Amino acid sequence: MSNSPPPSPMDTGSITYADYEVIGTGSPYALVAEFDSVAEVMRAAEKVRDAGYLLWDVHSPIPIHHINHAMGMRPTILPWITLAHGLAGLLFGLVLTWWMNATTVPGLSASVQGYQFLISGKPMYSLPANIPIIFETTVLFAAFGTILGLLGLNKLPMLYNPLSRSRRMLRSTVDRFLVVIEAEDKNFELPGTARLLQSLQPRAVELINEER
Amino acid sequence: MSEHEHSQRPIEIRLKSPGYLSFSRRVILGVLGTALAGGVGAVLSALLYTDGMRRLMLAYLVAVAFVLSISLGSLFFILIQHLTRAGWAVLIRRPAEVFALNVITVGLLAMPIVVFAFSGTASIYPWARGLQGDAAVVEQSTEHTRLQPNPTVRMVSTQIDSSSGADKESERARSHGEGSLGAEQPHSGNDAKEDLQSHLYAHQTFDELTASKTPWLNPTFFSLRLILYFGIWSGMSWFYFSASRNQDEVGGSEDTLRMERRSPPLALVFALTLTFAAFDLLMSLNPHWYSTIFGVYYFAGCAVGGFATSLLVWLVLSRIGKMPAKLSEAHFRDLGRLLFAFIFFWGYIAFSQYMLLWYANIPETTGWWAVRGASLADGYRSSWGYVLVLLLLGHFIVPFLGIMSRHVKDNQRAMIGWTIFILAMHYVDLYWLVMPEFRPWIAFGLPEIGSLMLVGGLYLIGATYIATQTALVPVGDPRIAPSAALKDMY
Repeated sequence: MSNSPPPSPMDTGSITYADYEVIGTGSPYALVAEFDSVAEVMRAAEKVRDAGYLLWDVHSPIPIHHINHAMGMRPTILPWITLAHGLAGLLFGLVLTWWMNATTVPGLSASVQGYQFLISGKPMYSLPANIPIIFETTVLFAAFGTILGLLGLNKLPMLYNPLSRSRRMLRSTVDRFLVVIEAEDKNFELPGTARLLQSLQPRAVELINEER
Repeated sequence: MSEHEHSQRPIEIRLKSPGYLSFSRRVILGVLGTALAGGVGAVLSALLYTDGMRRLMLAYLVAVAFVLSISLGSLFFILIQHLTRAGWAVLIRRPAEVFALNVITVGLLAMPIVVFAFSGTASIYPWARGLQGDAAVVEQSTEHTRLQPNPTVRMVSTQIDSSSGADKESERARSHGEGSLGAEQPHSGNDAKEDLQSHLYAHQTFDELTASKTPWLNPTFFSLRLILYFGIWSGMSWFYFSASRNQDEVGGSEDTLRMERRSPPLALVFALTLTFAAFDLLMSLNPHWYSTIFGVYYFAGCAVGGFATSLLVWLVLSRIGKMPAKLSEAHFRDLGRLLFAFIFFWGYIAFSQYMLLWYANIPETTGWWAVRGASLADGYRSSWGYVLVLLLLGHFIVPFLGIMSRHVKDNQRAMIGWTIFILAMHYVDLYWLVMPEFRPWIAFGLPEIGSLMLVGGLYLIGATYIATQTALVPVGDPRIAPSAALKDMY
């Protein structure tokens, strides 16, 4: 844990320093620490959270209960996105069924007028008959809102990520747990952040640079 | 024995000695006194009110259907826990087992309904009325139905009329003055009420249509079926209660596996018996009417009632320190979620039943709704419509929005209020199913309150007695430690 030289832009491939390995060249993208178990990564996450980092993440092959607390994540706004879309769907269904069944607007083309079918003596716009349609549009919009909101909040689809060059990242889908701190975080510095990660006793710490 | 090693494993639940429920004598006497006062009030109301006995029996049926739904909802809860091998609910399943076994009390409480089915013309069930030599009633209505196969037809179209109803029709037109188009104005006074009654309550005379259903709907077969239903429910509940209690002593996973293995066939039996019991007890109040989803509708209410009761029992007993185990907030949240889901399920089923019948608009299926205040047609409006709107808001929309948020489900004090509110609305649901059969305007008073106090009080006494016979958590289940450590996904 002594002073280690900062990664030089000339470096290629993986070079082991005292504190961390380096992958790629160019400016730093992120530091990765690799752990063996859920318990270790939970403890590590709490330390990183307490050190005040914001742009960082935990990668795990399995869902970890309460990792959000260990990471200090604020509650997601996804439910509100779902609710807003659901309400929009409700309104859309209402207007759709009302317009198609019960409107005659003078001067408008026949192709966009309401149909005006009288069905079994019921009023032109009869709410009970249209509730299934309104229900469906509500659910449809809410579902689309949720999935699109999920993609948006996770910045997906992301076609390239420098992390994908790390072999350790691949094992995070099998049997390893990773803490990744991005270089854009305002607290990120080398070698300070690397030392913090080393102090959490990971299997290894890795610096991933922007370019190959 | 490996099983014994299992049971020796330390359980991370602090059990107060020995984890049995006990209430002070004052509480027990209070509940008994309530039941007694309710009984006295109910009997008084039967003597004092006009048509008091009939009204009391209908109100009594509401109360019995209410406590029955709590027991059946609890039984359903146990069945799905074992069907899905749900470990999370091991810790909280005992109150549900107690309430399920309490179906025995409901069976005893249902006896007056069975006995009353034999009382001929005084019975609350129209199909039981024609069988006491009341030939005049049968003959008269036979003539009527021959002319017009479906008596409820008159409900919708006052233009079509049979010879037997023509006099009444013209009389009605006369009584409401010339110039008013077919008496469009809402009627006032007793006259109007009688008028409405004769239209809407045609199904209450024992006519040919009802007579054709007597092979199924007759007092003897009815009582035999009820005995069968209650026998099956008691047997199932006893099996789950005794197996679970046996596990408290011997430990091991043998009993858990036994309960799981039997749950699929028992779930089928449960579904069939519940459906037919709903048909017999509640739907046959109007033998002209039928709805194939009616059993599911009652089941949805059962699930809501059962889950709300389980949640309320845990919330209240934990609060006053009667529960031996401390639940994680995830348990309360998950029970709240189940309740939330089944509130929506109830709304979905209730609306499905309404919409299909409303859309088809066949007189024989809309008559039932008109009696319950669903018709806005002039002359058919009744105050039962307010109860219908109360149900739509109070049993569906308000609790749906109210307990949707996770923060509400986490707030235990708020959830006590919500579960009580939902149980009250569940009572209103059954009340609305039954009481409109009595008269075309709201009837709520001493008979309803008295019979609810009587039946509810005795039901609680039964539940308390069963609860004192066992520990309040299934201490022998090998999954109790992981269940106690339940955490939420996020």
